[in-house]
This record gives sequence, C-alpha cells and structure tokens, in this order.
Amino acid sequence: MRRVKIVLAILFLIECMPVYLFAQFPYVRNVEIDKTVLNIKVQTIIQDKKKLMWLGTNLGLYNYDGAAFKLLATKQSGADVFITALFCDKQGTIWVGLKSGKIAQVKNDSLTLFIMDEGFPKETITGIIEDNLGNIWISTYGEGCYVWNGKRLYNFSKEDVLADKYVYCIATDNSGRIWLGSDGGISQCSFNNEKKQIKNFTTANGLPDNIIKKLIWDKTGFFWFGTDNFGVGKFFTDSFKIEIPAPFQSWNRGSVESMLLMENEVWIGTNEFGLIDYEFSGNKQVRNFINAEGFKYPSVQCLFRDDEGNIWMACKNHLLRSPGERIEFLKTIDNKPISNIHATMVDTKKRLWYSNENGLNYIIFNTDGSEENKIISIKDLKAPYKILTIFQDAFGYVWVGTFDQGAFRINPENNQSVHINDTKGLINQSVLSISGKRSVIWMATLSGAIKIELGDDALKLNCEMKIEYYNSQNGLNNNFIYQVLMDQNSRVWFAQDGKGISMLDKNGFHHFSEKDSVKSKTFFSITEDSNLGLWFASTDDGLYRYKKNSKNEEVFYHYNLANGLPSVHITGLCADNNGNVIIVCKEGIAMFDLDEESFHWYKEAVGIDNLDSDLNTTSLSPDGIVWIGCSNQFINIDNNLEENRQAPYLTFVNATALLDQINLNEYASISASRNYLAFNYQGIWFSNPSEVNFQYKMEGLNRDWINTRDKTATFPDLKPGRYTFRVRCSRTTDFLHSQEINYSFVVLSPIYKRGWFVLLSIFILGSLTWALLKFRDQRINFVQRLEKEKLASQFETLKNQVNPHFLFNSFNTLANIIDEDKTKAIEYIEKLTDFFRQILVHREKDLIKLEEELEIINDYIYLQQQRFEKALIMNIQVADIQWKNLLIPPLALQILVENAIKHNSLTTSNPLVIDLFFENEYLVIKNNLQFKLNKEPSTGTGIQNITRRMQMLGLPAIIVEKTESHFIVKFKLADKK
Amino acid sequence: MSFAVASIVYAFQKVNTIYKSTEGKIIFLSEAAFETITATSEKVSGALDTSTQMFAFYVANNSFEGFNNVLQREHFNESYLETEKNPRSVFTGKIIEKINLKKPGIYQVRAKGILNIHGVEQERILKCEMIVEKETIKVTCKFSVFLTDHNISIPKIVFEKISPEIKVSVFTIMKGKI
Repeated sequence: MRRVKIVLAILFLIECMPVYLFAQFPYVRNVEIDKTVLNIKVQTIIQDKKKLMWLGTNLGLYNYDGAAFKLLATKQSGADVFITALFCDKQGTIWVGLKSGKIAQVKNDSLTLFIMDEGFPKETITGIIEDNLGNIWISTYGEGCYVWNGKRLYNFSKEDVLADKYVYCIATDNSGRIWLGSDGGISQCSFNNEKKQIKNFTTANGLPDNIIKKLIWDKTGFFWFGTDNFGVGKFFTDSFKIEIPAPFQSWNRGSVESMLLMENEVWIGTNEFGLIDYEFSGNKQVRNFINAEGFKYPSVQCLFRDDEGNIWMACKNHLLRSPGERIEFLKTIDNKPISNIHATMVDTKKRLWYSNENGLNYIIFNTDGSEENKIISIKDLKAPYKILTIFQDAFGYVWVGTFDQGAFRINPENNQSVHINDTKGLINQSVLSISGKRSVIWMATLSGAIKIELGDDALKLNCEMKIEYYNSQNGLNNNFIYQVLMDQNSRVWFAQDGKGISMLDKNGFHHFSEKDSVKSKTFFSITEDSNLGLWFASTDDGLYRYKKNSKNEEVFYHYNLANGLPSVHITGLCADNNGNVIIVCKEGIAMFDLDEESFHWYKEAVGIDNLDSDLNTTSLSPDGIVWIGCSNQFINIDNNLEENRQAPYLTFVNATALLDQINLNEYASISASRNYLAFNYQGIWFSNPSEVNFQYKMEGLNRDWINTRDKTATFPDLKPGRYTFRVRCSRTTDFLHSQEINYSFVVLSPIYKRGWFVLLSIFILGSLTWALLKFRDQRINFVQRLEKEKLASQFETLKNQVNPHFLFNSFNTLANIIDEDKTKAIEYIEKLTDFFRQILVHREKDLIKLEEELEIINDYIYLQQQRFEKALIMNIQVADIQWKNLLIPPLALQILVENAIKHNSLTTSNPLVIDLFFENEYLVIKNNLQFKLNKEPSTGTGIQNITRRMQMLGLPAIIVEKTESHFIVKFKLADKK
Repeated sequence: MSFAVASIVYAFQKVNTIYKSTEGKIIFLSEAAFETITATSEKVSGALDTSTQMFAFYVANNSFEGFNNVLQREHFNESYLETEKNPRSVFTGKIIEKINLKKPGIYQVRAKGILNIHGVEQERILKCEMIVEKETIKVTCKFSVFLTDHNISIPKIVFEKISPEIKVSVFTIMKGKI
C-alpha cells in the first residue's frame, strides 16, 4: 500500500515538472585544461584580484590567464593535491582547502601548507571564507567548521550546538555574517571576542530538507539554498521566512550540486539531471538542459561566472564555458530544423515573426520554456513564398513585403489581410523593406520609395491609404532603394544601390557622397540609435555613422576593421533601447556601445561563426533582446544584462632585475650591475584571449609605443637615468581608451661614473704618480752618488797606484833584482803589469768575485815582498769553497793591505803580519800595529771609501776594530745572485 | 522488564568505556632571556570516555616542584597562579577525530576543549598522541600557553626572567576496565 503511494507520488511529481526538450539553449564550449592528464575533475573555481582564474581539481591547483592553464607546484613533498575549496581573501592571498583536510596558501607560485599549532582538520574542506572581522572560516565535511583568527584555530561542532558536523557550504550575507549549510539545515555562526554563537534553522523552521548543499546570497536579503532532495528555495535572513518558488514546489531533479545567481535567473547544477535555468524575474521560465543539443552533461558540480560574464561549468571531467544568457541559439522548432529565414520581426507581444519557404510564421515562447510555431496563411499570397520584409505598424497590424506580389497588411489575431498592390496604386510589386512611424509607412521598392499615409481610420485593417512616390524623377538619385527610414526629426533617409545615401527633409533632397566622406556606393540598411545618431550599413565598406561632432555639425564617421568590426561586409543592423547598435556580419556579431564609444563582439569563441543571414533578419524585441535569423538558426542577444568587463584587465605579473624580483609597490633604484630588466604583465580577457594586444613604452628610452603580443618586455642595458615603464592593453589595435599601468624606477650610474669615485680616482692616481716621480728622483740621485763614489774610489786607487812612492819603490826593487836575477826581474815586471791590468779591468765594476780580488792581493803582495822580504807576511786562509758566490767591491782588500804597509813599520825582526780569513760569516782582514816614526799622513779616504761603496750597494757595513795591537776590518760579503 | 535490562547493560557498557589516569606528569618550561625555569607535577588526574570521546584532566596547581629556588615556587603559587583561589588547572572537552580507541595503535588526534588556568577559560584545540595498548592508553600532549590569555600578569622587574609563552608537556597513562 505504502509502496503504491510512493509510486503515485513520483508519478505526480513527474507530472508536475515535465521534461521538455528545449530547442533554445545557451552556447557551451568544452575547454581543455591539460592534454597530458586524463580525468581531470574541476571541484571549485575562483578569480583573484588580478582577474586570474584558479581551478581546484582532483589533480592539483591550476591557474588560467586566458592563454594557458598552469599547474602549480606543491612545496611539501608528498602533500596531497586533491583540492576541494578555494578562496581569495581581502589581501589577495589564495587559500586552498584539500580533500585530506589540509589547508594551504599560494605563495611564490606554489602551493604551501598553512601550518597552525592546532593541526589540520582531517576531513574534507568544503569551503573557505572571510568575515568582516578578518577571521578565516573553514567548513569541513565531518568536523563542523573552523575559525582562524590569525593566532589560533577554533572549532564549531555539535558540542557548540552546531546542527551538524557535516557541512557542505559556507557563505556570508550582506552584513558579513557567516552561514553554513549542513546535514542539519542552515546555521548562522558568529565569533566575536572568542565567543561563539550559533543559530540553527531546520525543517522545524520550514526548510523543505535538512540537507543544505548550497547557499548563494541574493543582495535583496535572502539566501538561495539548494537541497539534497527537495530542490531550491529562498531563506530570508531577517524574517527567517522560507519561500519555495512555484516551479520548485514539487522537485524531482535529485540533488543540487551547484548554483549560480545572475541578474534575472539562477542556474542550478544537479547531480543527475543536468542544468536548470530558472528565470525569476520576468516570465518565470524554467528550463532544464539535459541531453539537449549542446548540453549532454547530467552532472554539474561547479558553476562559476567570471567578471566578463562567462559562465564556467565543471561536469565530471569536462570543463565548459558559456556566454550564458547573453547569447542563446534556437536551432529547431517543433523538432524541425530552422532553415532559410528571409525576414524577422518581433511584435509587441514578443512573438517572433519570420518568413521562410512556408510563408509567414510566428513563434510563441511559453513560460515553461517551450516554443510553439504558427504558420499564417495569407489570402491572395501565392507560392513560392518570397516574403522579404515584416513590419508592425503603430496600430498593431503586421505588414509584409513580398518579391513580385506587393505588400500585405495583416491582423495578427485573426489572419485577415489587405493586399496592397497595383490595384491599390502600388507601382512596383517588389517591396524590399517596410518601415514607418505612427500613420506613415515607407516602402523601399525597385522603382523608388513609396510613402503611404494611413487615414484617420488606421485602426481598421482596411483603412484609407494615401500613396506618394519618390524616385529618380522627383529627386532621388536612383530607383533601386533597399531601405527607407524616417528618423525622430522626421527626416527620411534612403539607402540606395550604387548611389549612396540620400535624405529628404523640409528643404528637399540631400545626397551624400565622397565629399561628405561617404565612400561606399551601396547601402542596404539604416537604423537610428537611442542618441538619435544614424547608422548606415554598406555591403563592402563597413559602417557609417551620422552624428553631431564637437562643433555641433552633423557629419559622417566611418568604422571598419581597425575599430573592431569583425568584417566590412555587414548583413544586419539594428539599434536596441539600451544604447547599443548591433551589427551582424558573417564573421561575428559586433555591438557598438554608445556610452563607451567602442565595439565589443561575439565571435567563434561563443559559437558565432560563419553566420549566413539575410538583410532584414535583425530585429529588436520589446524586451530589448535582439533576434537574428540565419539560414539554419535564430540567435538572440540579450543586452539588458548588467555590464560586465568588456576589455582585457591589465596587471603586472612581476618584474625582475637580473633575475631578482622587484617590488612593484615601491620605487626602485637599480644598480648598474643588475641592469637587465624584464617586465611581465598580463591582460586577462577570457572572452577572446587571442585578440589581446599590448603596447609598451619605456619613458626615457622609447619615443614611440611598441606594439606586441608578448607578455614580457626586456631591457638589457639601460643607460643610467630615470625611467617609467608604461604598458597598455587593448582588445583591438586601437589603444585610445585602453587601460594603462606603469612603473617608475631609476637606473644608477656604474660606480666608475659617479662624481665622488672619479675625484677619488684622480686623487689616488695623482698621489701614485707623485710618489713614483719622487722615488725615481731618489733612485737617480742614489745612482749618481754611487757613480761618484766609484769614481772617487777609482781615482783614489789610481792615484795611489800611480803614487810616485809606489812606482819609485817598485822600480828601485826592480833595479836591485835585475842585477841579481834576470828571470826574477822579468817575473817582477810581469806581476807589476798584471797588477795594473787587473786594476784597469775591474775598476768600472760595482762588485767582483772574491777570487779575482785575491788575485790582485797576491800580485800586490808579491810586488811588496820583493821589497820587504821577510818583513811582510801575508797569511791567506780562505778555502776555495768559501770564495764561491762571494762578491766584493773591487780593490777593497787591496786598499786595506796597502794602508797596512803604508802606516806600519816593517822590519825583519818585527814583520808586518796580515791575516785574511773567515770568521763565521765575516771575511776578516787583520794586521798588527807597529807605528812608524815618521808617520805618513793618513787621509782616511781608504776606509771611508769602502764603507760608502758597501752602503750604496746595499751590503752590510764593514766593521772596523782598532785594538792596541791590531787593526781589524770585517766584511760581510754579498752572495752572487 | 526488557527495557530495564537493556538500560542496565547499557550503563555497564558505558562504565566500561571509561579510562582513568593512573600516573602522569606535567612539565612546564619558561625560556626567557635571562632565565630558564622548569617545574614538574605528577599529580595529574583525568578520565576519558572512549565511547563519547569526552575527557577531563586536571592538575593541582600547588603540586609543581623543581623551580630554580624556593622563592620562585612561592611566587608561582601566590602571585601568578594564585593557587588558593585557583587550586586546579583543568582541560575538558572532546576528541575531534572519530577513532576506535579499543584498537591498539598510535593515533594522532586533536582534543578540542576548554583550558582553565588561573580561573580563565580558553577554548583550545591541542594536538595529542595516543598510544592505545591492551588495557592502557598513553597520552602525550605538548602545547603552549600565553600568560596574557589567562590574565597572568608579570611584574616588570621579572619580565626578562619569565617568558610570556609557557611550553607545557603532559604525559599520562590511563587504564580502563577498573
């Protein structure tokens, strides 16, 4: 019995919410995150302060700048990467909640665990949010929720009377209060001065379900909540009232996984029943996209809208992007594909009229999201049907213009019609377009323009009509007219084939041509915007606009590709009542925003590609939606929605000086050695990332802006000075209204170019030169002195040797010897010459070998001994080995020996004994003292001369000792180098 | 009749899930610029209900020994903790993680509760290690206490001698089925 009841209940529920196959649907595109990994499942999406998008997935954290998804490195090895929650706090720090319960932050481009004394939760983090006191709230599935107050972590759980510890979602309201959705309903929590307060709301308070999976704040003062089993509802936070919208009174779409609130509608992602779109303002339409064309995803886990208005959906392992309600497509009606739309019009009852090979039709859009198609049979209209234009006059009647069969005025409620043809006075039966204001109707035909004035009985279908003709005979340039438009100033404009634009006002006809900067010859469409500017579409030369310039003169402006038009071949033109002009081309749909004075557009990225539309198929609906009929589909564009960001958002990513990060919040002084600068910036525009252009200019270096698509600018070697790096970003090649960011800094001169360094260098260099000169001077003096001493010594020696006494004595001795011994005399002469020769050889030198000096001594002693015989004894006790390497100033020893002979008496009984020997390191020359009676005068030059020479050669001074009995001189000799 | 039996059985089971501490030790450490002070008490009492995961622990404040001198101990009891007014320091609460404390093993858990020192209550989450053996549970817990959190004010003269952050280590062995 009970089972039967359940079955009946289910049947009833299904009855209440029938599953429609909705023909009209938003465009959805699959976005690939990472080709290299399979089964990547997005869990959560946020956008940071720089507009960068962050995606938490089962495989880690990705960021997305429009160009590429980048997987963030994880700092701690072994840390898990399954991300379930993301949040960007007021400082711009990104908080990351993991499935494992861990909490991390994004630091230096990597995921870094956020260490707290209290440890990490051990259950899945379901949400992170910041309250207006700056506390970070963390909800978990199994441990209630936590609050981090910057110092400590506190827990809210069942003991604190939180309804349930399994928390699905966390949200703040207008006043920053924290609300949780859990297995126990909705709870409001507060944490102030370490005091916890919790209020719970459950089924007892009227909630349809205690399992609250999603809470979305609506600024008007309530939460949209999504439940596990009973759909969605509203929870008013002031009155605690609960309201279930009528379409969801009996829910049969299973669990709500995600929700997204927009201006007029809320999107609900379910676990098994795809996406539900509930339009809560307007006609309260509910649409369920599942297995519909373009949407075949039963499970929608995550819904996110970026600040450009793109909607991102995570459906298991698919990431989808959609322009959302802004653009929708209608591809089938009554399950039949749409084809060959020739003309469209939306009437005052929002019925969409169109013509195709079946003749005239209209579509009714029901509040349940379904569509109905009606075919209007027009009496007198014969097949094949060629309806070129549809128009509704001020009295509600629908006019159609045909090819070759004239025009009809139709009552849309009962299909009765009046045929306006030659019998009524129409001279040409091919009506290309119909327009009008109040009781005046204008028709464009192949034989000029036709003006029809309706009589006072215009409310009647078959009213009085007064027809007037305008053609080449009465003022027009041409008979082939594509469109006639009467503007708000009652001027009538004519778009002509091959003859440009003409205008008729009180003063008659005016023709606009090249002299008015109208280059194009063929125009087929005219529209008037909400600022009373007129727009003319050409078939081959873009768009012309007629409006007042700064001098209050009305002139033509021309727009083409450079301004952002997708193409110069325009097929449709229509102004809406929100200040936009909609331009349709094959390549896309552009919108000119009269406030911003710029174009934005929809192209291939939102599924608008290769449009094949006829000339009269762009129509405005009374609710502001523009309908465009194409060969195989209708596209509707909703410009009523809140304005989203329409241009790239430019920020610096970072800047480096020789790989070191520059803090862009501070003015920097770059040292010359780090003078390799790189600026990285990004212009985020998810809508059309490939169309972002940059321009940069280094103020102080570049005179002109440099165009680039790179996101890096490098400056390898800036000269010292002040610079400002400016970069701007545009979605077109026109940078007139573009956003700019800049950074000023100074490059310091290298140290060798700075004044103080130069002065110091000059000073040091000067001092060095001065010291060098001084040293050189001294050196020269020294050498000169040495030379002088040497000369003095030579002179002294020569003087002595040529001393007449010496010669006299020598010759006397020789005279004696000659008589006695001839050979000895010859030997004597040989020794004497040898002695003088050696003096001559060595006198120029500073130092000679001790060996050579000893030879001189030997010769000298021989000569003297011939004279004194046994009265002179010379003892040389120097071993061969000791001579080696020893050097001595020439004649130093000889002078001493000569002095000894000169100053002492020499007798056989008391001989003069001269000893030459080594004592330790000293060469010692020693003689006994026996003074002569008649003293030869001592000049003292001998010892003095030796002393100076030793000193100048840098040799140790000689030591002179004079005892009572002996005269001793000690030399410390130089080693041979 | 059957209800009465069931409730008795339930009560019996409940009693059986309570573990009481038989021995324990609390050490505190103050590391200030000029002095390191440490003191220990072995008068730790406590109970843990393994079914509800609720617990309560306390220590007699005047049982701490081992200060650097007698005067320090006196100050500790009289000026700082005011042991006559606040004889005990208490931590009561519940283990956050759901664990089966009947199964031997080593568990890292977080104890959420109210820490009462110097008569001032602070909600704290403390990380503990629990070693569950056949009939005993060994609990080790290390945490720090900021004196300002518990309204313990230090005269300026001794400011350099007492750290504002006191490091506390607790070790206790609990026995069940008593």
